[in-house]
Amino acid sequence: MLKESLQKRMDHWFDRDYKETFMERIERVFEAETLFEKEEDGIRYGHTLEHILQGISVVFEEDELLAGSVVTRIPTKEEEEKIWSVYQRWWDIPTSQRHEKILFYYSENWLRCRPYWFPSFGHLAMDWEGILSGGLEGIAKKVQARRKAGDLSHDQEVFLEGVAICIEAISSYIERYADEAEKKGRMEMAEDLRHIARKPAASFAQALQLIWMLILVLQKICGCGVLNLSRMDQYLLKFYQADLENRVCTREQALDLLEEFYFKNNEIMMQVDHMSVETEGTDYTMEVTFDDPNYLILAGKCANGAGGVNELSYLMVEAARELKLRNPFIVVRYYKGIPEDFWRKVCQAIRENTTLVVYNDETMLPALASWGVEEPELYDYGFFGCNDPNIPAMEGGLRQVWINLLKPLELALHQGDYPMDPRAGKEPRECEFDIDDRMTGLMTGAYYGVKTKAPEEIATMEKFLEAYQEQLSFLVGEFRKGFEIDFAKEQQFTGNRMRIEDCFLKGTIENAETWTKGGTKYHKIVTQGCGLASVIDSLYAIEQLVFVKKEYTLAELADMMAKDYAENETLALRLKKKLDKFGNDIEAVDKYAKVVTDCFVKALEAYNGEQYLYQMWPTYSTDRDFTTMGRYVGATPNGRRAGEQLSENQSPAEGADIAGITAMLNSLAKVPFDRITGGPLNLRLHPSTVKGEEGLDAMCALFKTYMDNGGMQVQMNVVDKETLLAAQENPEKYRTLCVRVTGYSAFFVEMGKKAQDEMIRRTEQMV
Amino acid sequence: MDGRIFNIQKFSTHDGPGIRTTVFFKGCNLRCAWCHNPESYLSDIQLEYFQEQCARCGMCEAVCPKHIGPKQRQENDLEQCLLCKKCEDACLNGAIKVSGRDISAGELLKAVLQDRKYYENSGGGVTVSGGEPMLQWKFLKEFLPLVKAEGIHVALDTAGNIPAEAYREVLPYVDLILLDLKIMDEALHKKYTGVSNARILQNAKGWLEEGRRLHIRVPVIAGINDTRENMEALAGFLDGYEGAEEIRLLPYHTMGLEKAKGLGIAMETFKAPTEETMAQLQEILGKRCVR
Repeated sequence: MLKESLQKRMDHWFDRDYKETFMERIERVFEAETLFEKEEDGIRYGHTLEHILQGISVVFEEDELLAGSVVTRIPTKEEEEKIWSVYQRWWDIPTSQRHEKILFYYSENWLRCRPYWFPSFGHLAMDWEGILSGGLEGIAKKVQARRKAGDLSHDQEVFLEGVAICIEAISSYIERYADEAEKKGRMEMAEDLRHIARKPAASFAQALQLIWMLILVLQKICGCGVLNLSRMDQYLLKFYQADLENRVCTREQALDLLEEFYFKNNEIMMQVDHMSVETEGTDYTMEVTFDDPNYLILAGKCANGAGGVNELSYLMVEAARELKLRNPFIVVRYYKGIPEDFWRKVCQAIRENTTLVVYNDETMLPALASWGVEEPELYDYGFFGCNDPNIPAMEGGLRQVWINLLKPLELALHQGDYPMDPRAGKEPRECEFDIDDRMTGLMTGAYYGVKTKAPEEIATMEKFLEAYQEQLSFLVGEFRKGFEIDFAKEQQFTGNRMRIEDCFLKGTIENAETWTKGGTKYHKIVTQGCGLASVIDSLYAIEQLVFVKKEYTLAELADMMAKDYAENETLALRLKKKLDKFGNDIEAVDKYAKVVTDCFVKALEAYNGEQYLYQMWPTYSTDRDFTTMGRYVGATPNGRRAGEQLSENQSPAEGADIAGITAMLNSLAKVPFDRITGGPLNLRLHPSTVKGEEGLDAMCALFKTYMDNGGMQVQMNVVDKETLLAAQENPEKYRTLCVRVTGYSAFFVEMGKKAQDEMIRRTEQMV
Repeated sequence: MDGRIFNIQKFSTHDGPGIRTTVFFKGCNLRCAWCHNPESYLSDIQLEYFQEQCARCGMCEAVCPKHIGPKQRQENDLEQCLLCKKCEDACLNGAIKVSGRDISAGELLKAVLQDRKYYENSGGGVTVSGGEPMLQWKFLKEFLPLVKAEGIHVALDTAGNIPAEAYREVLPYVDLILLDLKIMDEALHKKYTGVSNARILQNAKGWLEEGRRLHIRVPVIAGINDTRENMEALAGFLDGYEGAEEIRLLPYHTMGLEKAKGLGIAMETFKAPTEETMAQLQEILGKRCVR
């Protein structure tokens, strides 16, 4: 049972105004900009953090089991104006200048709040286990040891100095909390805080307290969010077991602590949906935290071959199920032989719309291994938002591109031409991915390919697939070209710029090198294949219309596409509604799932290799950008008109899966996921389908079978259309309705209308 | 020989244990006033027309050898129809649906095997339903052995109104009977289903005596069979037979009405029983009644 005091705090939190802002941070950041202006990168970074941490309030709420919060308030109009003017000075600059300050950014809203000398991309995992077992003093000692070993360049010395300042600043900040706890008479908490300010954690409560303090500093102050908290049930187990044994803590107390910890991971986030940029809250926020999802990984196989489910795994699912909030975003790693009662608990939580998704070790482990991840760290793989693979502590932050897989199909039909307006200018381009697209990772505007064979000369399906491969490889190659240009710039301008995460990774201090310079073991670009079902359906349509039934020649078809089915609108409808589609367990269509995946993998392999520091890892994930990407693709042979959306994530085309959920999953299982390293499959089930004990049994078997058949991921909303419509109508009654969007959860009523409608249109699987 | 079906439904979770594929056979010898599958009444292949979807574009008329257009369809004037299905193919708005198709035992087997791993992991299988599947018992006699040979669990969903000899031919390939016992009183049964329940009860008694596994299902319609007497009679009928493992009361719903409209069948609207009534009735039926 959820503690009453926590329930009260949650209720209060739901009432919060989206304008509530952590003003103390902003004020101190603004001071720091000039205070340390003359210092070198690493030292300036450290001093900025120190300045903020020394100046912000230390806050206690009476019922808190873990300390660590910030003061927020609604800024005055004058304050707002001042903040906006500073943010504009920072980032309202030509792209070429931005380019010298930051390599990649998620969106304008995301970027604008980030101090250019104090940046972080977030989207990664710290060495949580190492931090708990060595304490913050362990990191300080690592710095000392590296200094002692010598052979450091000036840049390296500056970097290590920066790390040392940061660690000391965080320790002192935690000690301020210890002092305050003492004053408030909370002696036990004071003792824990005093201890973890420098020493390794010695109990379950201390471990959670230390991790929480770091999250607070990383995410709320440094903007290093969207964290992967990694396999918490593994690295916290020894603390939990020892506490039980020594009667320091009971199971119920541990559950309370976990619920406190989970709630705090929500409390510091903004009450917004970051992907609905049109909503007032997202438009307004001046914070470096959005509604960042923090991922937490449970279960999964261990390096010694054993299954990872333990007592804590159960407890952590239970806590999430009781709270049903956005965070943490729990990933359960399925494996063959996962204990049945645990699996049932997981499915039960999913059925109740807990923020919990399932990934399959049986495809993920071989997939990651195939892209170069080595044992034993392979077994510690996890994810950060949204559904991006991550090797904890061994990788730096976000590098990402969405590859529009339907685009090369269009290029293959038109010999590399893009038939839509506006066309790009006459100037030859350095790279098909222009600088703006590279920085946000999204393909927008006109893209042109290579001159492949004219449709008249393409006599077989195989030849068409060759042209598709050629165009796809070309686009991936263009992205690689652009990325290398940007990367060289990043090295030149900001390579020495430390970020808070550099203090907590494996390899950065040891190598005295920031992750941007290559300090960690792995470096990957999340390369998201988009529009999978749209491509499969289009290929099948070409096969049927041109090469099997011979109703049209490829040239005629291409011509119709160029004209967006003008005067052939009925054909578009017929193709959309009458031709078999991916998602119905029809082998003739589904065979293209492997064909497309093979092409995608081949294209990436051609532009990976030892000559590059960063390697592309493929995922099938569009996030919510499938509408944006669709806007820049002309008509396609699946009946899709010019500019219409691509298929969403791994789902079949909207409304195309009509043969039931098992058929849909059978189609999906034909994707060779043992080469794909992440991405979501969104399902929506009608509650009546899985009600009662039998319904739960069926759900357990449904997902297990999908995993055994080679599926990679499932995430689900069990909610009917009527409820969603009612929530649109009366948002105040449904403010706790938490739904899975893509790689994050949102409160339905806070999502923009467009996102809400997308969710309502998702096929509702029922019987 | 071919079987005539009107739907293959995957991930059925309400027609027997586990995850199942339910095959709906066309044709029925009952006419339950509340039927939720009225497209199963006739064994003939039928044209369904959904006026709300129809854009009156005339595409169906253009392809129809008999030039049947939206107007005739709306008036259910289909005497000329050759059931060539060209109109269904041409309609891009989903306004025309041909209900019923013939399929060989081998083809049907292939379709139900697609989900076999789901059956294995859930203790599920295949359910034949309808309509009254036993009207096609000769086909079942060909089809069900193929399913059994694959080691798959078979459930037969029947109203029980078929000669006992036919059941004897089919039941060796059936693991579980889902039997509808709609109304215990013979006169009322006749009034609302069009047939007497004498043969149904006789068959049921026989299976109970043989110790067969039975799941009893009762559609509950307010003011018709949601009475204490009806449930007590049912409880008495099943008393002492362990083979009747469970009883399910299925409250009336209106999903059949839309389909009836599409077929031009006039259908009465009934009321679902209240939750309170449902609980009382379940109480009467005791432990084996699934809540």
